[in-house]
Amino acid sequence: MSEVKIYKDTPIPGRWQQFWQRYRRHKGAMLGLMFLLVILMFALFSPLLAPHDPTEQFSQFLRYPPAWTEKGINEFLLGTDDLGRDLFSRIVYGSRLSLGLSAAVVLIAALFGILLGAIAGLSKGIIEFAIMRIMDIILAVPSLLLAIVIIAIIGPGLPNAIYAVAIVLIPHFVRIVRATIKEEMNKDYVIAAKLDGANGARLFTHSILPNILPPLIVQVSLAFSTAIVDIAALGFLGLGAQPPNPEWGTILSQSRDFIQLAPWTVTIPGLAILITVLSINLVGDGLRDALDPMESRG
Amino acid sequence: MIRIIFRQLTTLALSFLGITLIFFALTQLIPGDPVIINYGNLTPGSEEYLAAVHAMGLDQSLFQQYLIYVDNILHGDLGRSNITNKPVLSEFFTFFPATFELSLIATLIALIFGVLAGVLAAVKKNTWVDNLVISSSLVGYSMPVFWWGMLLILLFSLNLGLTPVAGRISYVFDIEPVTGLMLVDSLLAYSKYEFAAFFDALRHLILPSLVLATVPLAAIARMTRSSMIEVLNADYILTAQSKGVSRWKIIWVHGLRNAMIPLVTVIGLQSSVLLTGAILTETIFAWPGVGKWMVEAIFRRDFPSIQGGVLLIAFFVIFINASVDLLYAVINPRMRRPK
Amino acid sequence: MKLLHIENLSVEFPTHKGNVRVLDKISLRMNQGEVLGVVGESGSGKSMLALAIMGLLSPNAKLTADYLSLNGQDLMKLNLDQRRKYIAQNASIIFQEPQTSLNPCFNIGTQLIETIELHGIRRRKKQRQRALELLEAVGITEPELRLKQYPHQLSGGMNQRVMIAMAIAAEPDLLIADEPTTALDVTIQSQIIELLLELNRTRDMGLMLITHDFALLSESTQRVCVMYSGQIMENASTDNILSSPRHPYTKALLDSIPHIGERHHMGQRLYSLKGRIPAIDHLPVGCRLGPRCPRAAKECVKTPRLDMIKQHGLVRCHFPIPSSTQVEGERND
Ligand SMILES: Nc1ncnc2c1ncn2[C@@H]1O[C@H](COP(=O)(O)OP(=O)(O)O)[C@@H](O)[C@H]1O
Ligand code: SF4
Ligand SMILES: [Mg+2]
Repeated sequence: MSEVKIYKDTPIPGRWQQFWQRYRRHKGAMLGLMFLLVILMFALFSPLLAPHDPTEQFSQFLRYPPAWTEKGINEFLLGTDDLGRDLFSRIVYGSRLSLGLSAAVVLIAALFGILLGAIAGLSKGIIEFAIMRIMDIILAVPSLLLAIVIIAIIGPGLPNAIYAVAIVLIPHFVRIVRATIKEEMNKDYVIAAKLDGANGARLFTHSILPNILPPLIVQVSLAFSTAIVDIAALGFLGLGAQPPNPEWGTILSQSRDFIQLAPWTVTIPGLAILITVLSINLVGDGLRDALDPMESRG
Repeated sequence: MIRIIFRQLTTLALSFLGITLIFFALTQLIPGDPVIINYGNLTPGSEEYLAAVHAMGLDQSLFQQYLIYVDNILHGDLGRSNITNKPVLSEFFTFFPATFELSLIATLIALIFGVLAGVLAAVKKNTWVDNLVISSSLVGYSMPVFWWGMLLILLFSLNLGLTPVAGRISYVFDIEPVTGLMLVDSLLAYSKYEFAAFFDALRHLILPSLVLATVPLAAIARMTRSSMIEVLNADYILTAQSKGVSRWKIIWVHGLRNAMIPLVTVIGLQSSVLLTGAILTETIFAWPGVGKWMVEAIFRRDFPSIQGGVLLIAFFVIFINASVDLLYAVINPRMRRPK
Repeated sequence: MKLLHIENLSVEFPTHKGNVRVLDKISLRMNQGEVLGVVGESGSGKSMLALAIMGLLSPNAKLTADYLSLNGQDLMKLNLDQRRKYIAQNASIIFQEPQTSLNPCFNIGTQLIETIELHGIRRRKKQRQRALELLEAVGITEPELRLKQYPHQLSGGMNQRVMIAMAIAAEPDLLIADEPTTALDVTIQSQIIELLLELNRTRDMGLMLITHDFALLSESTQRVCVMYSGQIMENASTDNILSSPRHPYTKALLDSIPHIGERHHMGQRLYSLKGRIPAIDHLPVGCRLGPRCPRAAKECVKTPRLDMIKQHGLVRCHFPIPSSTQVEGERND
């Protein structure tokens, strides 16, 4: 019912400026962005911020609770684990793994996904059919299970976990890229441009790219949060990062046996995962609303 | 209708073909001697070994091998676990009911509370109720399941002592597996334990199913909310209001009936999410289901079980998705042919 | 007793830039069985007025009125539920898009019978019989079959007839038709208008015909109310308005009719006026037509009142166009 009407003479802000204005209105998204920047700081400057080496064992300080509790000491802000390692330092270094690994995962998935999606979108018949069927099947296998199978074949460990999670995330990218390309190629102005003899590169930068970017950005944020959770889950199952690596999921699987003796070694790493994923999802929601004003009316 | 069913069946058959092809290709990638992987430690060159080579068609072309592979699957022969030496199919069906029961209850919880919360938020848009639903569903959606399970165990089982830590039922009860669903089987044992076994099974089920339901519940609540907000803005809602239809009926009949249409697809997608969650939930709660079985199979390098198990799970998900597509066609009148 | 009596009705919406007033002090009356036309460009607040009368504004809208009565009942004295119930018994509305006005998930029969049931017919058989009667009354062929069909299986014109059948199921004294033909094929448009006018005659049902198309009104209405930017600009008998529009905006609307009998299309701009209707949160000071008005003068930065012009009607303008008879008289002098 409502129609936005803009006077011709009022300056219309640029595409990105508009985007930022809409994004800023989202309180949750701004909060998420702030948290994410802090976590990013932790990841980038771990050696500066962490008071101890993440694997150093202080054998006279086993299972010290966090500093704010009665028995805690300031030396170990978030307490120590059953081997006397400083939990704060482990979490700080863990952020490096969490963000770094998932960035690698998303990069691989996006690269292959866009490539396959473009092939599927620009081709017809058997190639497109084969690609899309394979993607459907990958989607049909629960993501963690598929990662587990891949790890079963190529063996546990960090690099393999990255490949596994990346493969699981590829189909979403393929679908988005293919759908957008198909949709754009059928639009009148693209057909007109083609008839005018516009070449592939020009078509790509002028009509495909601007339309594909928004959903792609949203998908990247979704993939990012999935990657973090899945890498942590694999670590937790003992199939990803191996101890004494301070990967958050791995820390959780290590402290599982001490859940009653040292509950903070369970609550704190999990909280770190939750906050990170939550921040990314908040940013993702904000991006989606800001990129697609039609959707943000809800 | 028949047309749609037929199309779904074709899709199912195609997916079957695709899955077996991919899995067959994957088996080629498994490192090591395929005979030893599938039949255990046979001495190469021995009679049994050669028999196995022949049975798997390893002495024939790759295409022949694939045909044998598909043929075996169609006969329900997924090989034998190289740890327990039992047929994989029967192993699967001893673990599957536990997963099915857990997932079913979790789905019900997610569906009922997710839809309720979503509708409530849409109706009370921009109020504190809406904000509460939005923020808690965002947290739920971001929840690492394995940690959430441990937290709840810490709180309800260890600190408060309200629920058991692990398993499906206490050892004091000796329940005969009839359906494999503990809630049903414990009721069937009514003559022995009256309701005691049932309530015990329920107490075991509550935490795992809550943990498993969390992410899908949040996803369903978010989707229901946005779908419902869109529907409530439609002209036909104004028509219904102008006719004097009660508010209750407008929301739950005119509104939800339409909002459910896009929701069904999302709920279908959640089946895959749910099974991923089941793997973690079962591991944490020592729930003897397919997920835990799979994880253990990996640590034991029990390849026949992994292959067979994942294949069956994939079939299950594809079957659920096909059913959901069918349901979509049933509840969406626009899918019917115009006359 | 007036069928509809509105005094100074305003509607405001909160936005992040403060409140916007989409209806500003609307006053109008309708007699029993009268046909009132409401015209104005798209965005002038016609639909908002219809929704306000029907009690269908979204909950965040703020409605104020000195007086608002339907069939003698003061609506402002009722709470929301009572008001909705009372209005449903006395007035009905049909919308511009018949395809989206009907619920896509239920067949025609279900939706029609739901309405019938709300108006007190309980027996299944009676309900069905009434449904068939109503469908026949609005000229739908094969009514038995239609009951089982879904909105997407019917044409736009057919769906609009179904909407009308539903609207008259309550035997309302007032039917508001908000651009009932805008979304339909030209050939169907006149049929629907004919149907509405026939129902108005045979059932003595008041009809508020909302449109942006003056041509539609000339043949069918007794009075016309011209709206612009949420205000009434001119309110007079159709004859007076057609023979001698006094408000510059009304004249522009009339001039924009391309040829007699030929109706222009949805959303077409008024070529006889420069510019376009201002955004409701960017209104000019004084007369809202000011920047577009060919007769505008200094005086026009002061808001004109809706004043009575003798032997004509109400006009909101500092410099109304002289009546055409007077102009001729002047020439003769
Ligand atoms: N929810 C709302 N908030 C603010 N302004 C609104 C809202 N809904 C409609 N409007 C404004 O109200 C004005 C009147 O709209 P409408 O009644 O639909 O006009 P018409 O039916 O004459 O085309 C428009 O300018 C529109 O932008
Ligand atoms: S008041 Fe002035 S600007 Fe407004 S319609 Fe009359 S002449 Fe035009
Ligand atoms: Mg309108």
